[in-house]
Amino acid sequence: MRLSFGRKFGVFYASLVYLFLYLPISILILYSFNRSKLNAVWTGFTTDWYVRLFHNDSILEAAKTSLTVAVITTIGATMIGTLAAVGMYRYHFRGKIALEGLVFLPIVIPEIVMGISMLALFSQLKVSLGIMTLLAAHITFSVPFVMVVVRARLAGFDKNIEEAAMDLGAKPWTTFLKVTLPVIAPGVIAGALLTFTLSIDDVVISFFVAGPGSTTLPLKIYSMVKFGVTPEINALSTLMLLATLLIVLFAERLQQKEK
Amino acid sequence: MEIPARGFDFVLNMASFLLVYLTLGSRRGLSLQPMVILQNLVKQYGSQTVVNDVSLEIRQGEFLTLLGPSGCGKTTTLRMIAGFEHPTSGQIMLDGEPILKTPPYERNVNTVFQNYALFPHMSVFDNVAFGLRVKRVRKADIRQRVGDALKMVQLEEFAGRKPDQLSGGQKQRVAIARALVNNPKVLLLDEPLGALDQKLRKQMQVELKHLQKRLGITFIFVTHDQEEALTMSDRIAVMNGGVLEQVGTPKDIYEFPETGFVAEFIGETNLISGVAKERNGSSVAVDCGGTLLRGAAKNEVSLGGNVLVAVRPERAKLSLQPDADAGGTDIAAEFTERIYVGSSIRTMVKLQSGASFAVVESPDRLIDAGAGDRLYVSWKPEHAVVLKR
Amino acid sequence: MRRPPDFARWWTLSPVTVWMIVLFLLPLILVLAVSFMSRNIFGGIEYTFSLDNYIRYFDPLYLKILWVSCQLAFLTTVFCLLIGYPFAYIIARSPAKYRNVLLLFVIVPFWTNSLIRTYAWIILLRTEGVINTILLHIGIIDKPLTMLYNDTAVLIGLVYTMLPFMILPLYASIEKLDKALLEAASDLGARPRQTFWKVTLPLTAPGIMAGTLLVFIPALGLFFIPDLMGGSKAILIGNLIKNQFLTARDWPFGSAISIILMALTLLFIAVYVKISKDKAGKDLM
Repeated sequence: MRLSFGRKFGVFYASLVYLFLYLPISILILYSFNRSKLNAVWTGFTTDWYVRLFHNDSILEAAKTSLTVAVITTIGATMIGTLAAVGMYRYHFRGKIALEGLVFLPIVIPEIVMGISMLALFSQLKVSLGIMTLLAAHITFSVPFVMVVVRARLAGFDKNIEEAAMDLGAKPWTTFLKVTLPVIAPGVIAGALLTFTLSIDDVVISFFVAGPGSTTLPLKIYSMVKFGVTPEINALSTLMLLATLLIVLFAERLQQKEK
Repeated sequence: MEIPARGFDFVLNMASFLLVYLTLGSRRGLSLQPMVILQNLVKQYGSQTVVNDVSLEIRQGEFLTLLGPSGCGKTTTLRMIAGFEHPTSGQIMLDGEPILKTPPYERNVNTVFQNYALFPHMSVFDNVAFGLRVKRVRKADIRQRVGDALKMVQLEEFAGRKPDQLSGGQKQRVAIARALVNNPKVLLLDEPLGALDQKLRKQMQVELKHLQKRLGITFIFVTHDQEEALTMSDRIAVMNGGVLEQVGTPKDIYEFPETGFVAEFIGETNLISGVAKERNGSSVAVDCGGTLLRGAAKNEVSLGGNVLVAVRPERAKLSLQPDADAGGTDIAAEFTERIYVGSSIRTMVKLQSGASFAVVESPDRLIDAGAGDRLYVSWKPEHAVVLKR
Repeated sequence: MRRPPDFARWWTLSPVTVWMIVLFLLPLILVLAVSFMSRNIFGGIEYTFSLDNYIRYFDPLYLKILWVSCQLAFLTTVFCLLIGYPFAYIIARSPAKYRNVLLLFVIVPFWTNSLIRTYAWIILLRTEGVINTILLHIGIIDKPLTMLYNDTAVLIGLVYTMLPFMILPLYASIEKLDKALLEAASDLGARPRQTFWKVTLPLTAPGIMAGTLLVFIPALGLFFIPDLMGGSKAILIGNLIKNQFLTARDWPFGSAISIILMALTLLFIAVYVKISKDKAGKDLM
């Protein structure tokens, strides 16, 4: 099949944009295997940087902090967000619009404002910065996203099946566990995965609410980059990229199964 | 001394208890006590009244249809019985007990939803077993009862399928089995046949009716389809604008509508307006623009008040000459058009008042007429009903 | 007559309400309050009401930072739109079986940490970076180019980070566009260019507006890209806020700048909502 000029141009243009999107990341991965420490000349293949990474205690510590915060944030935000989305879907009440605004405002206001405002709160309450403040902040910015995702799933939800369950003798809690939750499960899982990636990637808000003993991985990378470029960061970035990709593939698989 | 006194008391108590039990029990056996009673039911949303002072008694084993156009309050009434809506005022009794304080999951009624509302993540078997499982019925019993229910709706082989692998008619049957497996005192059906095509719909109407007769369960059926209501129901309750217009057997409702709305909503009807002149038993003479028409009036008609005379098109007759046997109901009219409907023929004429009037006749006793011809319309007095305006 | 008590409503909505009031609304109110106070000599907060922080902001130095930030955010938005629109159009008009895969490939880089993406550009652009090394090697240049630590570098970093946020809403609105409308336009005699300006563009305006909103607002606040790629030269409003809180320890002034930034954002959103509402109203008529 011969392509028309327009089509050819389209393919060319799209390839350029993909190149723009992928070139930096590919170079980053490639150079995590480069022997040279100082410049960009390729001097040979090595996995040394990965080995060094796993002997760097402060990086491992940061990774542990990030994972702990991400896991607990995921559980907390998914629970609060799912319940809230179901409640918002089910009930009409005075002040609903106000509550909606309160919940969706965090998505649109600049992250930095959220970061400094929480810093201000914690310092006024004399709460010392650490894992707890990180958790509080991460759950706060994640809940709206969980709500958006679960809400999208609820949009196709047939209210009658909840009534049908109650009609057949299921109490509200049983109805929620046996009928509502299984049906909206894909949305809940998607929301949880989104929360996990948001939490593990967050820079701006964590920057303000993390304490000296609770540096997250992105914050660690930030300080390393400020000090200068080392191939260790390349290795770390490659691993984080891989981890994110695995989560995404897992999510994709889950959705395929659903269909 | 104390003991015999107590003994006497005890016997007396037992006797009165037995007496009460027997009377109540026998009444229940004779099904004199209504299964469902709606007392002055009102439902308002804000300033809008959706159900307005509806009172109705539904007997044990009865097939009652709530019939009316969309938005007339029939579905809201049904949902109040199921417990999904709470009335603004009024009371609902189920088998002699007030149930307004009972949440839907503790009411012994089950619903067949308009769009079936099958649980998409469960198989047919699990759908039907749901109600029994949440009531913690024994596993072996569940298997037995679900099996019976599926057999009843002829879906034994589909037990393992998911709802999205079923046709509309099959989903419908699962929904019915899922509700009936719980042995409800009343089955509520909310336009259950609305989503089916015409042919399947007719078939399901017959099946449902047979099922109801066989099981003897009280059915409350909501529909906007008057034909469906007429073919299936023991009694029909016609609703309009939140108000109960008339309750009666299909024959009552069709032959003796009590309001203009009922007359027009069920079947086709010619309505002629006039003023009530005199009353003779149940027969009322109505002055319709100079012509005196007679008709039966079931409810109160005040003399001198505005009324409607309702005549079904198939009860009217056309002739070229005034008909002496007609009992004085002959009215002159002018032929306008004739429409062939296959099994019958519909002739439209214009009355002297200018109103048009339809007559449906069988093709074999047709009179020849063309546009503008003068004809006479007549009917037997008992086929005209006088209604309040 | 009382309805049976409804505990479900209580336990679904109260956690979120309490959480968001304590950890989102309260902090914002606190920042608003602090912005009207002043800094004492120890870097703490003096609890007296004053408008000084806002008045101080109207210093040309700070106004210029706001102006430059808006300019940069605006340029970021424009470049994202210019690159993203044709790209989204091409994907939306590609054969249906490839569309999801093509889209997935846009989203994958955006799932990676934005710091890592910024860092990748540093590797490419720095003096002893990949591009310079290659160019030197080939012999096109004989001494390394300075590509990092200027406004262009910051712009590249911002565009790279924000591009997917522009492409996704654009794709969504272009994909929804009924092809029959384009055929109708050309049937009625419109040349491709006219069809684009008169049919395609107006009908995809919601996507353009959503994309603009999603790019412009974060671009104002991302302090780490100017920090890492602009060196010390590029101070944008995000950096200014960060510095007031962490370096200068002038929280009241930092709070005032935050409030100004938030007001600006909300104004922008209000305009967006107004435009899209008007449009929806017109569509109804």
